[in-house]
This record gives sequence, structure tokens and C-alpha cells, in this order.
Amino acid sequence: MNTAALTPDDFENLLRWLDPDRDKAGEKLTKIQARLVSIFSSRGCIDPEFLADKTTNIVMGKSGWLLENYVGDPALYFYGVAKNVYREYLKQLRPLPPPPPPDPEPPELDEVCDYLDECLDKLSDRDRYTAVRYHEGEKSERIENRKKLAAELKITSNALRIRVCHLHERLRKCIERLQRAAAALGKHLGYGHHTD
Amino acid sequence: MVLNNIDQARIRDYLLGRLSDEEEEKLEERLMVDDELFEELEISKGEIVEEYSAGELSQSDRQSFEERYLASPEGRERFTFSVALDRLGQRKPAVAPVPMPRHTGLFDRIRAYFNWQRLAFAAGTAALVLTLATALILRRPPVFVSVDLTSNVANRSPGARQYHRLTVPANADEVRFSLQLPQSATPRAGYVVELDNQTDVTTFTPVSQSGNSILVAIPTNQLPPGIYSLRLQARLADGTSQPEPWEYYFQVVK
Repeated sequence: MNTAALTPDDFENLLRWLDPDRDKAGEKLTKIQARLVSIFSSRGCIDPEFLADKTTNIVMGKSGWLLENYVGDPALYFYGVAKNVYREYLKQLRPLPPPPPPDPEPPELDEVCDYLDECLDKLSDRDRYTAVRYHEGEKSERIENRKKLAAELKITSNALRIRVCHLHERLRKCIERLQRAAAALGKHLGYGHHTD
Repeated sequence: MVLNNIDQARIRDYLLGRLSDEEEEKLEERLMVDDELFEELEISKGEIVEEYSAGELSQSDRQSFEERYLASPEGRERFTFSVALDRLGQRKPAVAPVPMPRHTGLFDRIRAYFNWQRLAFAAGTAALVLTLATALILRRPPVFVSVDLTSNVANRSPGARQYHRLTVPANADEVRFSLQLPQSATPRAGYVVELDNQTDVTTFTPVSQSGNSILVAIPTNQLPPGIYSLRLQARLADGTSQPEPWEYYFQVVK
């Protein structure tokens, strides 16, 4: 699919196909994109955002036809296209060796620790306590510790998993923001890479 | 969350590359349309990364996980996050938010008595200052600017965002934002509003919530010229909170 050939009408058709309400359509598109990125990541793709965008662009190019003819959940059509995009990606990747395991001490670890510390301070006392306490202990001790924590917070173990998942998401976004801000400042002060 | 144990195990098998191609595709189709299953995927990713960093996975699971999820940028980022969390947990153990009562000896009681006297003097002074300050502030009602914001869900990519331009008068104490919920929004019991200034996020409790709008007051000293977004964290019935998928963008100009 040549994405340069896409027109604003294609985007409008895509939104209309997803939902007659523009706001709802936007939400659906965001949700579908997030799921495609997550699936491509789960399969170990090295550029999941690019593959998700490529999928969306292909679907967008067919949106006029889809609007008139497709019956069913649009998310499943996106997934069908994503499978083909993934196959193409594998063909290009095949000669490459498997990626090395992650470095147990990643180079950015100190920086991430500092930012994490800063981000934890921005949480409420209860949330900070939950986020840190959840990770205490090893194996069976950790499982027992989490049961106690859930009882302490008067929630089920599953509700605790969900709460911690949301807390992690907030912390990871906060770290990402601080990294972006530091990178922008470094660039502003002339510490960025020169490519020309 | 009403997922059964079979689904939870299935997600784990998926992330560890134990499913056949056909099983994998069936599960991914469900992931595209089933919100709870997708949430389980996100939770399991974090848990398996944690097990991986703690060396608790078998050799074959470890290798498979490295070749799949950990090969992605998201997997690497979560791995670093997990190691950082572990390191920080060792450096700073969790401190319970409610202080525990402790046994006090004679020396503690004597010291507490003198501390109390010092504290009483400090509190008295603070109360006097506070009374004077309150009297000064209460002489006039707060000056505020009202702004109506609608969410921008159809234009999420940074380049396409439309920012509401806002000039804050020098004498204004606060800006009162009326946040219109999208028509498709599911009404929630309560919300918390997050103000994101591109580097920090500050949380505010709404002043009121009626029908499809939420009113939040933000002091002007928190709004220097710059680009901002407001997000909503919905409070759910089970006591957890969940970010709403839309944002409100605005720009403060001089």
C-alpha cells in the first residue's frame, strides 16, 4: 500500500466506518492501534508502532470499500490485515539472528532508577506503599506478601493485580515523560547528536 | 474482572510462545475485541517480566520469552522498569502510610513533654499568622477565568492535536475548566483530574460533576505559559481507578 496515495477522505471514511459518531470512532481507532502494538510486541517485533501504523494505513486505503461492504467488527478486519503485515515483516527479518537477551544491568538503569524515585514521590502515600510493597520478597514469600497486602487494602488479590498494573502504567509514563524532557533539554543545550 | 483461570493460563502460554499458530491466532482475535482479556495480557506481561528478572522461569520459557516479548522495545523497557523497581525496593523498603504506635519509655515521655511545649508555641504562632492571612484572603472572593474544553479523541497524534489557546489575566487566582465528556463516555462514580505540563503531572479533585461535565479549578500559579493536557482517572466501583482514553489539550499564552 502506498501511503502517500491516502487522502483526507480515506481518513474520514475510516472514522465513519468505525462509528457514525466521530468521538466514538476516534476512541475505537486508538484502542485498535494500542492492541495491534501490544500484539506485535508480544510476538517480539522490533518496531511494533510502525507495523501498527502500516496496518492502519492499509485499512484506511480500503475504507471506502469497507464502508459500503464490510459486515462485522472492524477490529477483526484490522487483525486480518495485521497478520499479513506480520508475515511480510518475518520475510524481511528471516536472515537476522535471534536478538541477544536483555542486559541484566541496562545502561540506562541508573537514570531510570532516579526517575522512578521521582515518579514514586508523586504518587499518594497509599499508592506508593502499594507499588513498592507489591514487589517485596522472593517466590513463595512474595506470594504470601501479596495476599497480606490485598487483605490490608481490603481488596481481592485480582483487584490488587489490576491496581498495580495501572500504577505501573502511570509510573512508566512518568519515567518516559522525564526522559523526553531530559532529552529535549540536552538537545536544547547542544548535547544531541549531529547527523549532518 | 471475570476471566477464568483457563484464560489466564492461555495468556501466559501465549506470552511464553507455547501456543500453536492456530491457537495463537484465535487468542489474538479475542484480544482485539475482549477488553478484559486484553487487560489480562497487560498484567501478565508485567508479571512474567518480573519472574524473568528474578530468574524464576525455566530455561525454555526464558529463551522463548527473550525471543518474543523481550525482543520488542516495549519488552526491553518493561524489563528495565522491573529491574529498577527491584533495586529501588531494596534501597527504600515500603513504608506503611499509617504510622504504627510504638512503646514509649520514660526518656521518650520526658522528651515528648519538652517537644510538646515547643510545638505548642510553634502552633500558637502559626495559628496567629494563619488567622491574619485568612482574614486578608477572605476580604475578596477569588478571581477566576472559566474555560469550556471538549476532548480531542479523534486527533490523538501529536501533530494533529488542537490546543485551546488561553490567556490568563494577571489578577486571576484560578482557572475553572469545565471538561465536557464525550457522548460515548460511560458515566463514572467519580473522577480525579491530572494536569500534565509535559514534565510533571499534578492531580486535582474536581469541584463538581454534573451530567456530562466536570468542573475543576486550577490555581494560576500552576499554569505558566506552555502546553498542557488534562486527563481523567475514573474511580471504579471496586475501588480501583482507570485512566479514561481521551485528553483535553490547551495552551497558556502570555
